[in-house]
Amino acid sequence: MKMILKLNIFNLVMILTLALTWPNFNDGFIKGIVIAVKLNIFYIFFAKFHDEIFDALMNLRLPDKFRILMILTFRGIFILKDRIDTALTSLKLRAPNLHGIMKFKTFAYVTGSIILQSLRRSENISRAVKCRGGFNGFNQTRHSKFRKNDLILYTYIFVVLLLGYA
Amino acid sequence: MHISEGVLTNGILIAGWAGTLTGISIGLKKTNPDKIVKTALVSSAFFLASLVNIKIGVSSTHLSLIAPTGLLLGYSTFPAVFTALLLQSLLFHFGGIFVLGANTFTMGFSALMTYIIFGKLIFNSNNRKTVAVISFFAGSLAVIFAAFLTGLILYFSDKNFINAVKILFLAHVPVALIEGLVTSFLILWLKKVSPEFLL
Repeated sequence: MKMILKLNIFNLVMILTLALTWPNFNDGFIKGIVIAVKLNIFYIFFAKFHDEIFDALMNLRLPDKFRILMILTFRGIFILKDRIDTALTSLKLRAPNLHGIMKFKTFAYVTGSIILQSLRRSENISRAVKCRGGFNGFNQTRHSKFRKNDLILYTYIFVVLLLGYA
Repeated sequence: MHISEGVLTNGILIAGWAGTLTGISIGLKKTNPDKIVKTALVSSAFFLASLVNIKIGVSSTHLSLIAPTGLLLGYSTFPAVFTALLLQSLLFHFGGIFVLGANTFTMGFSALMTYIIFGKLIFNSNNRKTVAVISFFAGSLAVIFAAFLTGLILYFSDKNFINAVKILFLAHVPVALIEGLVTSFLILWLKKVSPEFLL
């Protein structure tokens, strides 16, 4: 909550600066709001995703499969991104002048090998997690309840999203 | 191929969400809990591939890996596509929350159709040339079909979008060819290296 407050004090200054320095006040204001919404979403996902969002999804009574899929997809993006960067760097060094069909062939092989390697490692980790009680049991020891702060946070997220899409 | 927010009519938005929710519920029921890791990884790959985006009018084009997603996941396609598109719309503002149903339906349905039509042909064939040709058609037709569905949705929302639909469709022809090639090489490689990874 404190971090969100600090972030939005910065957002307020940023919105005012954009609104007052933009040629048209309304355009600057809207641009500021859009940036503020994006910053908030980035913060919620990247800084808070691991615990609070996991709990929130649990409280929303979403199906377990969907909840686990969402968490794993989010983590998978970073794993794949790291591997893709490494693979593309090595590809640039080994074969800098790829053209035509060879380029697509290489892209397909790189994609396939990255997915396959990541899958094998992830399946090993998944088996280890299952041995420790599975994904469902993972958060039960610190399962959170709906409090006043959550109501404020949900209202705040709703207002931010509403402003963003208005 | 993401349709932007505020373009579609309410009826189309509701129909899109109805189709998507049906797909997700069937997909989640048919998803084996042991295969969730695979579903998540393919969903992540779909997310990353879709990030290379080119705007065309009210829509956009990108390398989507629609056919590989369908062929690798089968009925689990809808939850995977939905998760990837939800994260894209929240983090990068591609598409949008309200239009997420329609966007998921166009891509998820195309991927599912690819699996239903071409899946058995590809998995049961041992001839590399046959697999290459079928995979190429699967990859290309998946993109063409997704572009067709997107165009149809736009056209039914507003008949004035007909020119944008034509441009959208034409712009996806080269993407379809590239996607066909990538799908063909990818499936051939997977069949050779790790056939158990295919359904």
